[in-house]
Amino acid sequence: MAASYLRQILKFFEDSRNSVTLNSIARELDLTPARVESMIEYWVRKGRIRLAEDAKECGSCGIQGNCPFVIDLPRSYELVRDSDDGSLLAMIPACKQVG
Amino acid sequence: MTKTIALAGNPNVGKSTLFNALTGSHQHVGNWPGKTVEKKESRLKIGEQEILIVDLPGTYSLTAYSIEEIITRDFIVNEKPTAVIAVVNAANLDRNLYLVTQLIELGIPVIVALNMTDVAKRRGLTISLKGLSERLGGIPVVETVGNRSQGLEELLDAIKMVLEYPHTGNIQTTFTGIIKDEIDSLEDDIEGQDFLREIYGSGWLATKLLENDQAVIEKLKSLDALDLLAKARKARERIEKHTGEDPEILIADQRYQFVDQVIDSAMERPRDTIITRSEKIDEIITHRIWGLPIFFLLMWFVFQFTSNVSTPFLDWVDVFINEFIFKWTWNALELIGLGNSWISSLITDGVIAGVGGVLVFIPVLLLLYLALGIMEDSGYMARAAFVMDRVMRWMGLHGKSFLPMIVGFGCTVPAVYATRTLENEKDRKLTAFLATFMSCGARLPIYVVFGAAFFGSSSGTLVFAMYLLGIIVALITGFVMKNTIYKSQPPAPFVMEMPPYRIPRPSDVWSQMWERTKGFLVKSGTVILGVSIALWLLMAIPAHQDTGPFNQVQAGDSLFGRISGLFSPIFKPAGFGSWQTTGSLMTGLLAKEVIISTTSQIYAVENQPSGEFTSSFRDDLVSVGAGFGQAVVLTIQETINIFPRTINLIPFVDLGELNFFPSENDSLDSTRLEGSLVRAFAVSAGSPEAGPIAAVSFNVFVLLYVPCVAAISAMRQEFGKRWMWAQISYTFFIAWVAAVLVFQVGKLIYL
Repeated sequence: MAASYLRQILKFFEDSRNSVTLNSIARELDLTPARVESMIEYWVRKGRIRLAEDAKECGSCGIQGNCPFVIDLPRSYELVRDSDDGSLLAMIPACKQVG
Repeated sequence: MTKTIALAGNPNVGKSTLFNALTGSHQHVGNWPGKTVEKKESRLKIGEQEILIVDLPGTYSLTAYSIEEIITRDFIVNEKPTAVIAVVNAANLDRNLYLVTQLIELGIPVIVALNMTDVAKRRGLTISLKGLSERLGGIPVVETVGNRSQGLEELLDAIKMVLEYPHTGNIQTTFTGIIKDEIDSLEDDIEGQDFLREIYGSGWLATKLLENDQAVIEKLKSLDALDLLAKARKARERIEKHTGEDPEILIADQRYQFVDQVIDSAMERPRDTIITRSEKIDEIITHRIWGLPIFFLLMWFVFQFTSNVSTPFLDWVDVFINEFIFKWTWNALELIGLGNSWISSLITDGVIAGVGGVLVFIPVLLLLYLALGIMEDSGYMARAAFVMDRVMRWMGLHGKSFLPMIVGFGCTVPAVYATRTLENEKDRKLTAFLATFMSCGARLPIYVVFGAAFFGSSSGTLVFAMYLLGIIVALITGFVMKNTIYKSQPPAPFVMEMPPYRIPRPSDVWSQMWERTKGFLVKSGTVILGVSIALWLLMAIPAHQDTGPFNQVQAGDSLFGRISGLFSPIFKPAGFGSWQTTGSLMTGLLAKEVIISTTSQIYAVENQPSGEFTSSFRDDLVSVGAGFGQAVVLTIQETINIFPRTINLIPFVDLGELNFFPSENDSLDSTRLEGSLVRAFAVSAGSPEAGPIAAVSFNVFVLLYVPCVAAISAMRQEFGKRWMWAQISYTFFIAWVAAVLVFQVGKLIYL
């Protein structure tokens, strides 16, 4: 029986040697990028993939929400490996909306 | 009896906006029992019927992995609302319909509110309401735009209809093959047990048992439904044996396939054109060989644009603030009898020279924000990070390290915190360490003023070189550390979301430019104003009573001048060993742009305008107006000149550049501060010819030396005191070595 799309997506993460874009996975599996992302989120919920969202935090800087120098970046995902220290994820605070 | 309608949906789909539009201001806000998640409910009257509307937490699915999912699921299962309004983002059906299928599986009446349809239409998506309703088993589907209260009448009609004729969607076709067979079989068992049927929909319970949902299994254990649990376990084993796959994954996969089929039959999208076009562009932009040169070429354009194109307005603002405002403030103070008092000195030499010295750079920053805005809005910024991933990986660093480093181009503080996205502690420390070498936005005005003072129309090249040098030093440092003290396992690859390319919308870019410029103005009015006043005070206090009274002391003999002078010999080998530059580097620890305000204050005090101001206010105003017109023309000239200047990078090519005001060109390129810098660096470097080399050396030091206090404090908070001091020592050392090398080698080559 052919592997499910969900399994194929996880395998993509496990087998990739280089970083890839959502679009390239979508093209490979003949799916839309939105659907690939939706399926990646399934693995995020299961704790197999981690979302590395740009954690905006400005510490003690007095400017905080008005800072002109903060740049927004796109989201990226990566495989959670057995050796990873998952506790770091808990350190990520809720994003502070800037501007 | 009050009937209940619940609002469910993914986060950020406009659920709360729709809730507000439906219920108005009469809301009760509290928490879900025993949870810290907010619960909102309100009463709504439809005809004679009063209904309770409950806003459920935003969630992507109804599994039991997050608190929001559990709250939503428990509410629907236990409270049994009359119906659920599934609020769906019409522009992202792929993601949103997954939850809708699960809501329908629960066996309750569902109304789909297809929200944000305006966004979907803008993206060229055409959704058939009838088609969607049919594919979802005949449930009502209504178009809404919550923030404009559009579609509310239709939604209320749908609620009325569901209250009168409750209708559950029938989407049995979601599951196929062995999954469907086993669900059907378990459903039969459940149907035969009344106590279970009263609590759960049989289809939903059967599906959850096959998914091995622990919350449901525990509940059934408490209800003593052990036979059913045993049957479910056997069913899961049969599926695994038959397919070699976990039933939970197969069920989720079939749901996704169902969602795909629904979308294919109910929505038309210009997907192929947009994706194909973006992918075609990406074949060049993110190419493994061409990607990097394209990245650097774009950086070159950005810095030509920000440095050279801004120069005419920079000069005009400089004249406006440091001459017009300075002069007429001085005159006004004199008129009220405060001329030559410490108050007039504080206002003109402290506030105007300090804050004004930084405000002069608003044209530079506006253009930088314009360039950044265009890069972000067009979708290029994501590609830049992706392209740099290869370089990082090649050097053994984590590709994702470049994300915090790109953030470092804006500000080092969030870059240090952004390292939290790296899971490995060693990678985190190393990345934070390297991010400090990325040239933050606050350092740009310094390069621009030195570039304009010493290199005229080639100032963009100096700026570009500084940014490039920051990247190179970071990469070399990273490479060395990764192969010595920070050896760790090879970095994991990552998958990045690439937004499709699009033409930047002027309104979005303008809004970003304005927000960021506003932020800079706030910083000027707070941090920089404070530092300027403190610095004025330090420069007004004599170091010794013999050197003169308060506020009448020579700048070099002030407390600030003497303290700075103590450290200035350190910088002699780098060509900028004067107390002025040392002093500005010291205050620059507070915030990098303070270097410019300090320099501006020092030279304002040293070069007090002599004699009477003779021209009239009217003459000065006319002169400012004429200067503005000239700046507009010169801005056009400099924008056009970027192209010949870029082409002239090719060896043996020498295209001519436009010059609308040939006779005035020299004077335009030199403001009062720039002139002072040229003279001061000629002295500290030993000769006028060595001045530009010392200026480059100074800029290299500014780029690499210890980051500002906010960044240092972020380092301490994240990695501890020891790491913070290691970072301070290393950055100071590397900056000093690099600056000395630039000056000494530069002298050998050019003099």
